[in-house]
Amino acid sequence: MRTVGLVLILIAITAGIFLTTMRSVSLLKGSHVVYNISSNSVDVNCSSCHKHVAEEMAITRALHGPHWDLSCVTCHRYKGTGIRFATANSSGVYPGKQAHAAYVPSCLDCHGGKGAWVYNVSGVLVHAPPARAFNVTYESDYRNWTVVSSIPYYAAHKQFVAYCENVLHDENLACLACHTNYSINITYKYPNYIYVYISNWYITTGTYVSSSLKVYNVSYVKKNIFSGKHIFLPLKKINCSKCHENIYLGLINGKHAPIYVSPKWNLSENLWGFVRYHGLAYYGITTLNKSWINDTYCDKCHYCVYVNLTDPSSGVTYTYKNPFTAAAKGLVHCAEKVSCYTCHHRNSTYWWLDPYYAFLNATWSSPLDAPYHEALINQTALNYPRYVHGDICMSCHEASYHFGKCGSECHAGNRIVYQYTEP
Amino acid sequence: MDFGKALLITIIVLALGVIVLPSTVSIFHGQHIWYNLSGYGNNVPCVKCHADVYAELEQSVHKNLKCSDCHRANKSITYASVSGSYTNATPGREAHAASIVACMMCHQINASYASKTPGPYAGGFNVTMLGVVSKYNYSNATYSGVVAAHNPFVAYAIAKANGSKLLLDSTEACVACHTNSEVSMNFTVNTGINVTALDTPLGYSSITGLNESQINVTGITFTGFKVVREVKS
Repeated sequence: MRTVGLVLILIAITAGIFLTTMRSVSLLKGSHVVYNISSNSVDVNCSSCHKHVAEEMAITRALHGPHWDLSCVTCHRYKGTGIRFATANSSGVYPGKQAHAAYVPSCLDCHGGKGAWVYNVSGVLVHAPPARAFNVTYESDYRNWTVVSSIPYYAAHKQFVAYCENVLHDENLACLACHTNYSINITYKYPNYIYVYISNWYITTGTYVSSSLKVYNVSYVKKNIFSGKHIFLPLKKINCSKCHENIYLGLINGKHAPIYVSPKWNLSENLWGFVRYHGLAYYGITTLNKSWINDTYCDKCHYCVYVNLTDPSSGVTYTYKNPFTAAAKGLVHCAEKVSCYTCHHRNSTYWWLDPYYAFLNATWSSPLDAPYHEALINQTALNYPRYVHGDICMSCHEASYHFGKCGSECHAGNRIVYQYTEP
Repeated sequence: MDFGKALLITIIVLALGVIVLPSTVSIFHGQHIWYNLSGYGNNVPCVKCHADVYAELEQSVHKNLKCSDCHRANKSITYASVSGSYTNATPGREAHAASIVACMMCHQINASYASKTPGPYAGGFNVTMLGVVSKYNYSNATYSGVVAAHNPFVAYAIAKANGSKLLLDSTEACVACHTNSEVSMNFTVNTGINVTALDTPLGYSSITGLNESQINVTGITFTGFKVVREVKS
């Protein structure tokens, strides 16, 4: 009976609620509370629908990464491209033309050309710097590179940007992959080995074997609140090794540009008996140190001159000697494509970076004397793809894959040589 | 007698009272007080049934509008009306007292469907480029809306509205941003890309003086899809 009583009480209360509350409700509660958008500030709060994006931007602010002091409006209502957005303020109502509330910007809208001046959250004009080398019109074929207004051939990552732009019609993806917490997986495919026929110190025939591909997978997956596209990383947090892990491992294992130069200039010294390590010092390195392999190290070869010009604090001490290099002219974004030839040939771009002018002043005894050596290098550079250059060099200078000492393998008469590609 | 029994008896008595007492009055109190509809405007107080809407309007930028300014404003609809005398009554055709309304009726580019003074044009959308047809004018050559970030939202709202019982046209999209309506959204986002790159020979370059190769990007696909729920309240 007690239960029946309680049920009746509940029924009575429910009936009372029905009788005393409103008799109808609108289909969407709140749909008749239309915001007043006539103030001079932004009256529709983007983050009310995009909270997770706002949280990612908060991380950017904590990191003090690029865009940390920008608002949604700065990028998504950027007027520099001529887009007119819907606006209502004290001076009137102006319908949007190309967009209503917002648009999805291209990074190059602000970072193209000479960059742009935009207002930050404090109302202060700040400069969006140009994305050097990518702030120009892309030409699809490097051989058509005749004017500075196209992405120069020298700029590493050009193909990445170009593919995103031309195939996916969204070059932002390339920017986001490096500059934000957006994840990237890369499958690199290299020819497994090259084949050369050496006769009397010259490569008489040679080819790369593309039918046998070496596959290397890099997975750089990041956990994010949303997509990660709004967590903009400080430049110093962009780590070359994350995407080029194979190069990194090649470096610390002595298989990427692992040249050792004898301080005594004496070939008789055990050229392959030392741990070889390129670039940190020219002799005396006997221990590999992973901590040395960082972006600064990469920059020394791949971005050397420009780093020196723009960031003296980087510790790069190369002397700026040639104002006409691609990097010096701002035609390189973050890295320049190089090969051994780039620094170690007297006619090359960065010949002064080789303190020993390896091919110019080589005074080694036969058979590795300078004329032959230089001729081989020239022949290689002219006739074989860039990625082969290093392998030709490595065939003599790298211990790991070397078939034996000079004269015992490659140069013991006419030989067919298979050289595995680096790293 | 315990409390339950007492309560049960009380409720039974009250129920009997409800049944018995009204026999001397009309079933609904006030049902014979007919409104005079012959005056200007709408003389039926919408607020009687839609007090919640009225309360919302009090907080709205539309607070100076009458209900009829929106809900009896469609020029293509003949609403029931009386002018001057009950003998001069116009029966409603497509609607009697009111019609539900799409925001764009008053906020389209020329508001040709609205009988009242149109609201400001909500320019900057383009739904035709997404293959969606609306009876309202969203864009023209000047107001192209070709890069609007929310075009898909607006277009989908229209597409769903065509043939469904949701709000008319793109109204869901409008109220999602411009009103206090609670909105729950599931964003399906990709969180990364898969890149395939192949070392590729190119040939001799007269610019570099070298035989060139490059790592060609041969494919990019999106990966890491996940659903993120956003709730605007």
